[in-house]
Amino acid sequence: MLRIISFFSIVIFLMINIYHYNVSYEAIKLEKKIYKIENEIFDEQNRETQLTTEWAIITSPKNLEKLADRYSKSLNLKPVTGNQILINSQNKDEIN
Amino acid sequence: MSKSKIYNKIIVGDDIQHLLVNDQKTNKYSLSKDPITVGKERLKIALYFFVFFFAIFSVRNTFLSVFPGDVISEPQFSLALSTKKPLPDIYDRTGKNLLVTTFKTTRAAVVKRSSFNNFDVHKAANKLSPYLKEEPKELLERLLSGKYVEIANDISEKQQYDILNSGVAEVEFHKVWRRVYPSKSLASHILGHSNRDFDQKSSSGFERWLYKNEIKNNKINLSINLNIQNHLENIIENAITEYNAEASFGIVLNAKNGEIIALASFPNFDPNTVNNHSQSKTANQRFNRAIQGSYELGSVMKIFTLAMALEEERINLSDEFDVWKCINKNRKKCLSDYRKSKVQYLNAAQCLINSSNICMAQIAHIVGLETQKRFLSETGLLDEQFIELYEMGKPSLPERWNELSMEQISFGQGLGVVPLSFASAVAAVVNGGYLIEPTLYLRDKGYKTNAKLITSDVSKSMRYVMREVVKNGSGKKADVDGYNVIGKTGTADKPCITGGYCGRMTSFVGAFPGNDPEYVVLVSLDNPKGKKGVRGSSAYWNAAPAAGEIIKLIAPQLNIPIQNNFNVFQEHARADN
Repeated sequence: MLRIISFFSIVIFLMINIYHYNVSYEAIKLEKKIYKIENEIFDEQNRETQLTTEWAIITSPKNLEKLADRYSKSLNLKPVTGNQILINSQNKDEIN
Repeated sequence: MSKSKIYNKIIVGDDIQHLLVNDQKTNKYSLSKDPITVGKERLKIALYFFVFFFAIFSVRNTFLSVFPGDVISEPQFSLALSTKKPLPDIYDRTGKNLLVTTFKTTRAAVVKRSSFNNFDVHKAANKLSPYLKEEPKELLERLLSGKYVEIANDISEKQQYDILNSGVAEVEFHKVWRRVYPSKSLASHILGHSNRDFDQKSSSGFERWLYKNEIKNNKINLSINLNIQNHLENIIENAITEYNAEASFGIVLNAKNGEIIALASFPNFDPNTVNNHSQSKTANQRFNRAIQGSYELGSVMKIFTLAMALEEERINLSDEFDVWKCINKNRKKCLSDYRKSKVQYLNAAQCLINSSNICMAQIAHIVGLETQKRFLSETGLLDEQFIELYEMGKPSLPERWNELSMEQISFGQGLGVVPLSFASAVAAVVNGGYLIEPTLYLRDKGYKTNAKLITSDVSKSMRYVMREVVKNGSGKKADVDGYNVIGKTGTADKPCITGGYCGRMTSFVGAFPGNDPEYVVLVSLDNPKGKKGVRGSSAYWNAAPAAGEIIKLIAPQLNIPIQNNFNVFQEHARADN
C-alpha cells in the first residue's frame, strides 16, 4: 500500500514539476513577446508623433499664410469679412 | 567477547533482538554503530525530507492553481526608457498642435572602449569638427578629457547622417525626449520653452507651469486660438517696422469669461533654438512685455477715472468742467492737455473724448484720494495678477500716494500697471461691470462671475462714451465697419531709468462689438517714431490703426456677425440730450 502511494506521489510530483517548468518557460517566452510588441508599439507611437509634428509644421498658420499669399490671385482668395457671417445669437455659443 | 561482537554485526534477524537489547546495557557504543540501524535512521531522515519538500510543493502548487492571481513575478525584459511622455502635448482651442513631444536622436557621444585600442583621437577630431561647427583643437581637448565625451546635445537628422558617414566608429547616438514647437516663434511667450532635461531652471512660460505643478495629463487644450495669435503677431510685427518702434505687445481677451485668446510680445524668440544661445543674450526676446512688464499706459487710464466717478454717483456725464483752468497745485507749471480745447467748458463725456488731463484731475479731486485707491484696487490693477504662468509682473505703485500722484494717476501717469491686468480691468468696465479673471485654460460654457466692479448702467454709459471716442475722437482709425468698436487711445511719457521721462508709449484699448462687447483688444507700441506721410507719433497715428486692423481681421474669425442696427447707443445719446 505504502509503495503504491509513494509511487503515485512520485509520479504526481514529477508531473507537477514538469508542468511548472513548462508554464514558467512559456511565461518567459510570452514576456519576450510582450517586450517585442511593446517596443513595436513604442516605435509606432513615435512614428505617429513624428508625423503629427510634421503635419503641425506644415499646417502652421505661418505656412498656410504663405501658401494663401502665393495662390490668392489665381484662386481669388480674400480674408473673411463680417458680412459673410450669419449666426443667430442663440446657436452662436455652440459654434464657438 | 570479541567473537560475540562479530556475530552481532553479521547476524540480522528478529531472533537476536533480545541480544541487542541486552548488549545495549553492557556496551552502548557498539550498538550505535550498527549499520542497519544507521541505514534505517538515515532513510527515515531522507523520508522526512522528501515528505517535507513534497508537502511544500503540493501546498504551493495547490495555492497556485486555486489563487493564480497572487503570483508576483518581475518581468525579465523591460524597455530601457520609459514609454510615457515626460510632459503632455499642448493644443490650442481649435485642436491645433502647439507642442509635440517626440522621441528623437539628439545626443551624440564619443565612447572610448578598451576594445578600440588604436583609437586615433587626432584623426577623429579632424573628421568630426566640420559637422559640429567646432574648431578641431577644441574638440580634441574635449575628446582627451574622458572616456565618455558628449560631443553634441542637439543634432539634426542630417548632422547624424554626416557624423555616421565621417567614419568614426566610436560615436554613439542616444535618443531622448524632445519638445518640438511646430509653429516656431508663434505664441512663444505663452508656451515658453524647456531644455532637454526638463528642469525648471532653464524653462519658462507654460512649460514651467506644467513642470512645477507636475501635470501629467495626456493633452491640454489652451484658450489660445492659433490663427488669431498669428494675425495679432503679424500686425504687431508690421507696426514695429512701420512706425519704427522698439518693442510692442498685444492682447486679445474674452471680455465675458477671461479666456486669453491671443497674447503677443515683440521681440519674440523661437523656443526650438533659444537654448542654443546664452540667457543674457536673449533676455530682451524672452521678456514677456504683456505679462512681466508694468507700464504707465497714459490716457487709457482715464476710462477708470470716469467710470469711478460715475459709479460713485459724484458726477453725471452732462456735468461741465472748465478745461482752461490752471491746475498747478504742487507744481511750478500749470497742467496742460495734449491738445488744448477750443471751448472752455466740456461735459464729462467730452472730457474723455477729447482726452483732457485738466478735466480728469478735477474729477479725481471730486472723487477723492481714498476712493480712487479703493476703486483701483477693486479692478485688480494694484495687485499681482495670477494666471498659469510664473513670470507675472508686479504693478509699480507711486512711492507716496498723495494729491499729486492722485492727479497723475487720474490721467495715467505715475502708476505702472501690468498690461494683462489692465485689459481684464477694461473688460470689467465694458462687459456690464463683471470682474473677470484672465486664464490660459478653457472655461466652462456656463461660466459666470458675480463679482461686480460697476453697475450695468455705468457700464452702458462707459460704452457710449468709448464709442464716441472711436467715432469722433482720437480712436477714429480703429473703427471697423459694422463692429461699432469702442475704445480709448493713450500716449504716455516713458519714465527713464535715470529719472524724468524719455520716449513715448502709445496704446489703444478697445472692445468689440460695441453694444455687447465680447472681446477686448489691447495694443501697445514702445517708442514709435513718425513715418513718412504721418504727422505725429501719438496713439492716434500708430496704435489705433494697428488695433483696427486686428479687429477687422479677427472679428469674422471669432464668428461675430456685423451689426447694422445699433440701438443701444442711439437710445443713450437721445436720453443724454
